[in-house]
Amino acid sequence: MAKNPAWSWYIVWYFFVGGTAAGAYFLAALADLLGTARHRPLARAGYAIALPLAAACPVLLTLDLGVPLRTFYMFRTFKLGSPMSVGSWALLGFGLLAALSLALSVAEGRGGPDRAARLARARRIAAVPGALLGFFIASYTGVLLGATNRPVWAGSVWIGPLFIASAASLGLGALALAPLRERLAGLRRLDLLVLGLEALLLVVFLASLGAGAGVFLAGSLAPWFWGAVVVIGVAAPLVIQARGPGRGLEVAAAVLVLAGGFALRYVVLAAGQA
Amino acid sequence: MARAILVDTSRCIGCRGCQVACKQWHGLPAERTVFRGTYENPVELSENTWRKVKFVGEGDGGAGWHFLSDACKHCTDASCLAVCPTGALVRRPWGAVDLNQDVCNGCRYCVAACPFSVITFNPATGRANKCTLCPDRVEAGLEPACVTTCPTDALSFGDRDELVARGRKRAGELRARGLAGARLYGERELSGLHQLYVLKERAEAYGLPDKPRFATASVLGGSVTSVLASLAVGAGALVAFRQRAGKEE
Repeated sequence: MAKNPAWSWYIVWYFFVGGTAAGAYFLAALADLLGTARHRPLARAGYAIALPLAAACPVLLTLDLGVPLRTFYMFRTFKLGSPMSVGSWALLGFGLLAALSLALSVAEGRGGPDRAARLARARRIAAVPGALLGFFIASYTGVLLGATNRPVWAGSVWIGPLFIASAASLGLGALALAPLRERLAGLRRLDLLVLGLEALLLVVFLASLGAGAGVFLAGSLAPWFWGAVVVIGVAAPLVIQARGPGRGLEVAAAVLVLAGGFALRYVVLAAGQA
Repeated sequence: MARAILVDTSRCIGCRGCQVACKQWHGLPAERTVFRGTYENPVELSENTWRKVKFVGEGDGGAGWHFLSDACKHCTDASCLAVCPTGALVRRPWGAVDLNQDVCNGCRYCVAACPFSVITFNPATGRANKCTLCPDRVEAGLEPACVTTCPTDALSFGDRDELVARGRKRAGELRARGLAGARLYGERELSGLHQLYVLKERAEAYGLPDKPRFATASVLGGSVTSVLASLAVGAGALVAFRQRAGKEE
């Protein structure tokens, strides 16, 4: 076993903020690529959520390092086998693309139809690498934890996909809180689907740990796990969203999902450093 | 030509000269220690103690001690080097895993990755520390400081292949003398360590993992499962965003 890296609150916040940014971005990009004109405001809101959060990520990571200029050491080299190395570059690219996508979607509303069509095409082109980077940012932190020799994390291949499902629900949660004039059909069903996927992946992750799952199920993290991750983060929003549409319910589910997504990242980080 | 240290625990008398020589050469400060029933100190390898002698009770009612001069194993499949995002951890051509302080940014990924609990974060410098195998000495024709100091030749430095052959022979001799569990540790572990151990007992008795794990072995599997989850979310989005229905019902 390895020593404790002492990745504490800055990293928990980074996982949460980065996951929300990634989820909001890849949903916006998918809406841009797969949706119709009705989805444009949704996509723009997604980019608008993603950009400030993506900008906050390097700040949180730099606070963790403690010495500001040392963040740039991440860009001395590129190592395909190191999730943190690839992740650093990906975060740089993700931030730049989030800025580009938002700029293009804001500019689209100004000028004639020819210009709007060109900008829309450019935005869709940017959405392709953007969506891929979004999925990468959402999951690489989980793959990174697997690539250690700490208890719970070591060798796990299920934290990455779990973080993807969670990032999707975080992105939907953030979008549900955005002031959009039109609530689109299908988003609620997508939310149900990703919450179901998250529940499934939670079960698979715990099953893969065997006896090691005890730290979540019965240990000191159990109240956080059962209360915040399972009930607040998954079960309650599932029940609320399954009951049917409604603005109040949607907002309630979104707040619960955001709290649960934060708790998920906290318990996973804490479990490997107990 | 790969070089290595061979630690023959059957020759070690627990004098801790290696531990002191390491501190002297690298200018590492003393640590506050506590008496825990033996002269073993400090509790574990740290940012200021890159080599220490572990004291392992003999077991089976015996009153003796097994000593293990513990430090970085300089693995061929080195987890720390594989995960380091800055390039601070570097491989010397002769096998050592060196740590370039100027380039380390204190991310602590190596700390979480090392399967031997060796590499440690130094809060005073905000960077990681571990045994470097003394490249400054070795590349000037000297042995590592610990090896030079060892009074019983429990530590030797040289060509790795020769040391592997010597270690195997020595383990065979020990088995012939009745130490049934004697073995050479590090010949194949993590594709070969550059710090080899002749052990008198099984590895776990010394706190060494029987099958140390290469940290990044799970990256490919984790990437595949993450791609599958992304495809599942993408498929859900395809259904959700392709629907003709307008407003929420």
